[in-house]
Amino acid sequence: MKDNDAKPTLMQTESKQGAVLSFLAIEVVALICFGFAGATGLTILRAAGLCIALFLYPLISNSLRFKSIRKKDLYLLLPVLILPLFLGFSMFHLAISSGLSFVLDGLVTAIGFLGIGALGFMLSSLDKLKKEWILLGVLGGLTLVVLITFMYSLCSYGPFYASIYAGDVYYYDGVVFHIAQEGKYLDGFTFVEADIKFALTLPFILACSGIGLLSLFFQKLDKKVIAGLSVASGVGALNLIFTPHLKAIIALLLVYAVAFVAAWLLKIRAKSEEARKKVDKGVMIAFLVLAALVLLGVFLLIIDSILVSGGGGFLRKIPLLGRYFEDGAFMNRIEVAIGELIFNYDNAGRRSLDFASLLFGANSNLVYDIRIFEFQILYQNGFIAFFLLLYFIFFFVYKGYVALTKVTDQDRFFVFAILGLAFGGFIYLSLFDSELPLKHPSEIDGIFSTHSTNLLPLTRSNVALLMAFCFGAIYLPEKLDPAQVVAVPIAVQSADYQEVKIDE
Amino acid sequence: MNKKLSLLALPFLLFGCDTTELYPGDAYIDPEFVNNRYNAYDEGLKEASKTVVATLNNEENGYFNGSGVYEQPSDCRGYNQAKQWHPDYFKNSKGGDLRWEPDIDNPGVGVWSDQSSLYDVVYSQTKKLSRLHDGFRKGYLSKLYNGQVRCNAWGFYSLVCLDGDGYGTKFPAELLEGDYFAFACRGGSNSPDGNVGRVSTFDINITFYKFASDLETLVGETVSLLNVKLQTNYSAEATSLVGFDFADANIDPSGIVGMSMDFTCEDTYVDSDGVSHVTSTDFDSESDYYIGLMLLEVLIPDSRWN
Repeated sequence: MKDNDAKPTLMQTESKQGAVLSFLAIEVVALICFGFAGATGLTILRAAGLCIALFLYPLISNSLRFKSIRKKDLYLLLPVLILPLFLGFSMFHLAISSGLSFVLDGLVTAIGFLGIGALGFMLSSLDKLKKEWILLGVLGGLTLVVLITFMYSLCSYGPFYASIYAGDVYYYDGVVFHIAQEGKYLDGFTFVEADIKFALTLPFILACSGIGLLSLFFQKLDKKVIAGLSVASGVGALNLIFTPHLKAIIALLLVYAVAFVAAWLLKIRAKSEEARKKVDKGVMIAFLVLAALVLLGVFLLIIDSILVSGGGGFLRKIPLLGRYFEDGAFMNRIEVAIGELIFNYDNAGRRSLDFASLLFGANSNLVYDIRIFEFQILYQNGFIAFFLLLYFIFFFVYKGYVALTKVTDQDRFFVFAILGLAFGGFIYLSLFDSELPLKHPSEIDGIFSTHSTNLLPLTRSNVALLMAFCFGAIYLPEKLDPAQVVAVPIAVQSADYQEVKIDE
Repeated sequence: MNKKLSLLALPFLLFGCDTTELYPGDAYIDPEFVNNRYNAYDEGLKEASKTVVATLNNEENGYFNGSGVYEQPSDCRGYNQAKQWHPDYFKNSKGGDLRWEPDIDNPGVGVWSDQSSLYDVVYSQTKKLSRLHDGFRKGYLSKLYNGQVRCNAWGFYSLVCLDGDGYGTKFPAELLEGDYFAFACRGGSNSPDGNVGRVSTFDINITFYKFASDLETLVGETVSLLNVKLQTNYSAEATSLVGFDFADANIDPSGIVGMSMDFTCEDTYVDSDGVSHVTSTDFDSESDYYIGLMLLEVLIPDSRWN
């Protein structure tokens, strides 16, 4: 019998499995980025993501990246792995939903984060799968939804409407709405009017994908990759400009400035061993200083929130910054929300500590429109989730730096682009998060959108899932040099794309 | 290449569907009463020929108005007369009575909220036009179709302020079927007798427009309601449901594509010294005091639209 007629070997079968599964995984990621079929679609995609990640496990279980995971990695990962549970389940979500839907919603949310994060890790561990394809999935989904929404927005409002019609209102259901403060958002298969900051979340994140082009400082890139990144980031940036949203544009420039500095440092770092040590040391110091400042700021804010809920407060007395803490001001809203989280008030107005609320989120269906997502999660999910989230953010920064320093030349654009998306999302949501975005939601629930109120928690959104995917995609164990991964051809990693007959 | 360029330019050429009816943020909420007048007529309505098809009085088979008692300003409110004459108009799906108030689920002045909890509970929310056709949700006049029949402390946000010339609008769809027409309203004046008020008598003309046989020309059929007694300046919450059956007005509702409303009013404000002042319904004329019709809701309940 000729070799060609022989039954496929285990290696070939696994290769085909890898090809099919990675294709499906990329599809799932693309659909998540697109927000396909709204809240209902996301629920299905979360489940699908987890299933595909489980199916992919045998294919990457022998990869060096996976095998390099040691106990230390697991210890470091543990807070990240339990964070989804605290994001999924909280007193706040119990207060806004009934028993069974609370359990199902929490479970799907938690599983979704773990599944999509694992999917990111596994996809980027398949060495024969070109990173271009993964990026194509992410950027394809994002670009498509942003482009469709952008075109529809242009048709509806025209270019530069936020400037041209600043101060103008329209009437809907007898209620006044400021047109310059809203944008179009594709909710399932229906366009709805949403807060402009919320509507521009995906365009902003997409615009940050152009950071992948900074890898041109290090080596030449395939023309297709350059074109793809340029088009994707261009669509996002044009959406911001044609709206226009000045604060978002400034934030975008800030993100690119930070990315540029990071690329410049990496360039210096690559020059010599001495430079490497210097840069690593400098970054470490900056990292620790930043972490210390954040923790100090959070500590002061919590103390001030406690004082504010008792009628006091000291931060409002600080020159220049104090006005942000005055009654009704931006930071004051956060302090009031934290006060609501920490204390219970009886009928006589006496306050007492509410430990359940403190740890697991506000025991109330009252929603504060806090613009900083970290504090929104503090309010909705409690202090445990908040500190786990802070850990996740700093761990992500650390792992991002590790990935940037250890990445092979051929994958550098991928790490740059993925980190650009994640950093863009982080900055945008830290400045412009909106949990009550819908202007006039449908009074009748649609099949694909169950929003009878305008509450859209970030933890239930596709943006949060994208962040989880980005983390998984750039995660490297402590003891791993990716160059080794390329050097060691492992059978199951040889997932060449081939035509697959359905009966095989 | 040119085709591709044309396609790319398409969104820029088509722009503006949502910007056709914009207003300055302070439009119609001026502290000065007369500045809030709405007197727009959609194209073709003023020029349309009109025929008076019925003149109705406040009686059975005429028009219904508020409580049916108009001795004091505080009497002029609600829907009791209509309910007395047409009890079946005010039943919910379970045979119970639909309430007049609370007319909205009110999270705050000018805040949009889901009103579905009031469906089949409250008359105006159950019967509002925006439930029958989505087109009624859009535009300034959507405040006449949203089920809010009382002020609820919303001030001028809740109502359309008309002077004698009234207003005219084309509906977003064509009416196929309907039993009766109703509107919630009260009088309003810049006279300084707030919380005391007076009973004012209005003659209100309502014109329904249909397309003539050429399908282009609009023709109007007018129903005149004589001596409609409404309270003025007593309370923004005291509004009356006024209306009539299409059959009593000799109007076939099918094919109606628009309506207009105008009025006259002989009203006098008596000041604290006992001096009488004649008020004017012409907001463009020179006068110390003006009176207008504060329109809060327009209803064609249980109707079908094309």
